[in-house]
Amino acid sequence: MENLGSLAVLLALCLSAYAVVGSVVGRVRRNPFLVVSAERAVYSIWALVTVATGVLLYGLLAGDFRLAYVAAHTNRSLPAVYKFAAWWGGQEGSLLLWSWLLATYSAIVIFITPRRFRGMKPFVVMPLMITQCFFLLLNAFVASPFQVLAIGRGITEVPDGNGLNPLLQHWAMVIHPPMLYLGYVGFIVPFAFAIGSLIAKEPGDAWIHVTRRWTLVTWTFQTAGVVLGAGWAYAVLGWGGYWGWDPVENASLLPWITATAFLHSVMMQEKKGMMKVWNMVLISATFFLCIFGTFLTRSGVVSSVHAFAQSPIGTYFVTFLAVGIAATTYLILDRLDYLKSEAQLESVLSRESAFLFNNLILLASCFAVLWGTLFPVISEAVTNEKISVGAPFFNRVNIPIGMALLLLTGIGPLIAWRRSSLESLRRAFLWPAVAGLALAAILLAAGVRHFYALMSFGLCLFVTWTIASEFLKGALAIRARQRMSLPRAMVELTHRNTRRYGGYLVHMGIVLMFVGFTGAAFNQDSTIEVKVGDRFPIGRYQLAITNLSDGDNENYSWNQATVAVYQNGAQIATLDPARRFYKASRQPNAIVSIRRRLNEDLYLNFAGMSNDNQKAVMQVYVFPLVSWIWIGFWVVLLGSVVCLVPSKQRLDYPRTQVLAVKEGYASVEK
Amino acid sequence: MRQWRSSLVLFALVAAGLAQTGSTPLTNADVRRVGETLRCMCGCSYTVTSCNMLNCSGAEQARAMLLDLVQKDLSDDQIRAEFVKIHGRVVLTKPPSDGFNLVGWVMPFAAAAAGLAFVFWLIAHLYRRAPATPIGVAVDSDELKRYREQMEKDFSKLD
Repeated sequence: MENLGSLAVLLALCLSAYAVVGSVVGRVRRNPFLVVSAERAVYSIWALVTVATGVLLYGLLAGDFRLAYVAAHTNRSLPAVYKFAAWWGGQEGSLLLWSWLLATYSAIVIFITPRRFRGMKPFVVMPLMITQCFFLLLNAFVASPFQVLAIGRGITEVPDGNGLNPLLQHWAMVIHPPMLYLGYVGFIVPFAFAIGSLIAKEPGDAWIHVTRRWTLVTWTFQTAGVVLGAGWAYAVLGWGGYWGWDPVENASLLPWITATAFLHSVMMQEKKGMMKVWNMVLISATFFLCIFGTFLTRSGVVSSVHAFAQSPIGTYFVTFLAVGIAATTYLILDRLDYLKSEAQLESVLSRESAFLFNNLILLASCFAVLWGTLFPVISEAVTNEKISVGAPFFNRVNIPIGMALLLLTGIGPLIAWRRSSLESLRRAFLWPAVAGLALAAILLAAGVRHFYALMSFGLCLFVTWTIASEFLKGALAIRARQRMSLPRAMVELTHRNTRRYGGYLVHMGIVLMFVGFTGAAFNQDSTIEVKVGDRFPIGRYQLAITNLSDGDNENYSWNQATVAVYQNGAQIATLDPARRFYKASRQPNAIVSIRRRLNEDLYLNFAGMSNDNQKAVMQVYVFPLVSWIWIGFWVVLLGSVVCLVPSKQRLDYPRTQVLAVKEGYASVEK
Repeated sequence: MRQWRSSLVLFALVAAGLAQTGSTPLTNADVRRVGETLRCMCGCSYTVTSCNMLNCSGAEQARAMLLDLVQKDLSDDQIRAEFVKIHGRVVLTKPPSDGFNLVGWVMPFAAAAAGLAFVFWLIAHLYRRAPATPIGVAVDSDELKRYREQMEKDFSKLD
C-alpha cells in the first residue's frame, strides 16, 4: 500500500510540473490543446493526491504499524475519530493535507472559472501548480508519510504505536486544524488570480469579482480556525486563557489580519477603481504569510508548544518564500502602469479615507504581531543574547491598536462614499457617542477603574448603536412602505443588500468578541489545597470537593474530583475536573471542567495532590464575559454566510464623478 | 512474568503521573503573580504560573524556587534577578527595554506612526481639489447649499 501512496505522490509531482509548463507554454504559443491538457493534469493531480491520502488514512484507521507515521501518531486503543485526526497530527500527514486541499481548490478553480477568463486562466493555473509542485516535492522527498519502519533491509512492524499527543485528543482538534488549513490554502486562489491578471495584463476588477466569494469563504474558514484554536486552548490547556501569543498562534493571525484588510480595501477597487497596487500587495502578503506560518510551525526557528519537531524543512520554505516574494514584487513593479488608480479622493471626510485608516490600523497590528514574533530571533542575531517576547509585549502594543480598530468599525460604515459633511457626521454619530461615553461614565461611577475596559465597553456600545440604527432606519422605511412586521422588514432589508448588512453582522460579531476580551480585565483566580468536604470561596461561589475517584480504560487511566458549586447557600452545579494518564504516549493531561454562563465562566482545573497526598490541589478561575467571544464568533459566521447570499437587488456601482457644477438645476428625464 | 513486569512499570508511570507534587507553590498568591512575569523554560512559551503541563520539569522547579524566594521576603525585582542569573534574560516574559531591545518596543509604534504619515500623504496625493468656480459665474450660496443637500441625500442612499 505504501508503494501505491508514494507512487501517487510522485506521479502527481510530475503532473504538477507538467501543468505549470503546459499552461504557460500553451497560453504563450496560443495552443489550446496544451492549455486544456494542463487543466486536465490538475484534475489528475487531485485524483492522485486523493489516492495517496486514502492510503495514509487506511493505514491510520487500520493500524498499519509498518508505517513510521502511523506508529508515531496512533495506537490501537485510540478512538477512530482521533485516528482520523492523526492525519494532521504530525509533520508528514499535515503536509499531505496541505497538498490535498490545494489540489482540491485547484480542481474547483479550473471547474468553475467562467469561460470569459480563458485568457487569464493558464496564468492562474501557474502559481497554483508551482505551489502544488513545492508541497508535493516535500511529500515525496523531504517528509514522506509513507516511510516504513525497517531493520536492516527488512520491513518491520511494531506491536502498537506511540499514540496521539493527548492535547490533540479533543473534539476541537478534529475541526480546528482542517479549518485553519482550509483558510491557509484557500488564500492561494485570490493570489493566483491576482498574479494571473498581472501576467495577462488584465489588472482590472475581473479578478476581484471572481475571487470575492473565494476570499470571503477562505476568510471565514480562517476565522473559524483561529477561534476554534482559541476555544481549544481555553478548554484543554488548563490555564484558562484562549490566546497566549504563542508564535504559532500568531502565525495563524497574521494572514487573517491582512486578509481582513484586503476584504475592506478591495471595495475601493470595486467601487472606485482605486488602490489597485495596494490590493495586489495585500493579497500577496496574505498568501506569503500563510506560507510563512507553515514555515514557523515546522522549522523550529521559534519555540512553540504547537510546533512540530524541528526539521530541515525550513530551508525549503525559506527558499520558496524568497523566490515567490521576489517574483511577485518584480511582477507588481513591472505592471505598475496597468495598476493606476481610476479615481481620486473627493473629500478627506469619506468612506475611502476611512478604509485607508482601517487598512493602516490592521497592518500596524499585523506588523506588531510579526515583529514581536520575530524579535527574539532578530535580537539574538544582533546582541547574541536570547530574550523572550511574551504576552505583556503583545498586549501593550495591540490593545491600543484594537481600540482604534473598534472605533473605526463604528465610524467607517456610516461615512458616505465620496464625501461627507461635518453636519452629516454629527447626525450619524452624536447619539452613539453620547451613549458610549455615558456607559463609560456609569461604569466609572460603579467602580471600574481599568482604563482600557472602560474604553472598550464605551466603544462597544458606540459601534452597536451605529449598527443597530442602520438596521432600524432601513427596516422602518421598508415596514412603512410595504406594511410588514419589523423583524420581516429587517430580513427583507438584509436580503436586498446582503454584502452591506452581512458586513454589519460581522462587525457586530467582532464587537461581541471585544466584549468577551474585555472581560479578561476582571478575571479572578486562586490555587488552593483542599480536603474532601472542605469548602473554599472564589468570587460569588463556594466550592466543595465531594468525591475523589479514579479509573482506567484502554486508552488512559484517570483521577477525578467531583466538586459541588454553591451560590447563596444553594448548590447550583457539580463540576468534575480530572487528570488523565495516556498509556501509549505515557503523557499526563488535565481535563478541565467549566460552568459556562453569559456573565462569567467558573473554570476548574484539578492540578494534582498536595505533597502529603491528603489534599487535592485545585486551580479555580472566574472568567467574566468570556462566553461572548464564542457567541461573537457565531455572529461573525452568520454575517459571513449572509454576505455570501446573492442580494435580492442587483447592485451596480457606477463610477460617477462630479465633473463640474452647472448653474441652476439640470433637467432629469423620467 | 513479562506481562506482570510491564504492568508494574505502567503502574509506576501512572503513579508518577498522577502523584504530582510540585504545584503546591501556586497556592501562594505572590508566587502566582511573579510567576506570570517569568517564562517556563520547558519550551512551551507559557509562563511559570500558566504552564499546565503535568509534571513539567521547568515549571515545577521554577515554582519551588519562587516559593523559596518569596518566603525569603525578596522583592519581585530581586526574585526576577535571581532567575535571570540562572537562565539569562530569556526567562523574562517582557523583553528588556535597554540597548538594542529598546528597538523591539519602539518599532511597532514607529511603524504605526510612519504608516499614519503615509496615509496622510496618500490622502493628500489622491485628493482632488474641487473644480474652481469659473470666473464671472456667481453661484448663489443658497442654491449651492440646496444642491449639496440633494447630493448628501442621494449619496446616503448609495451603499
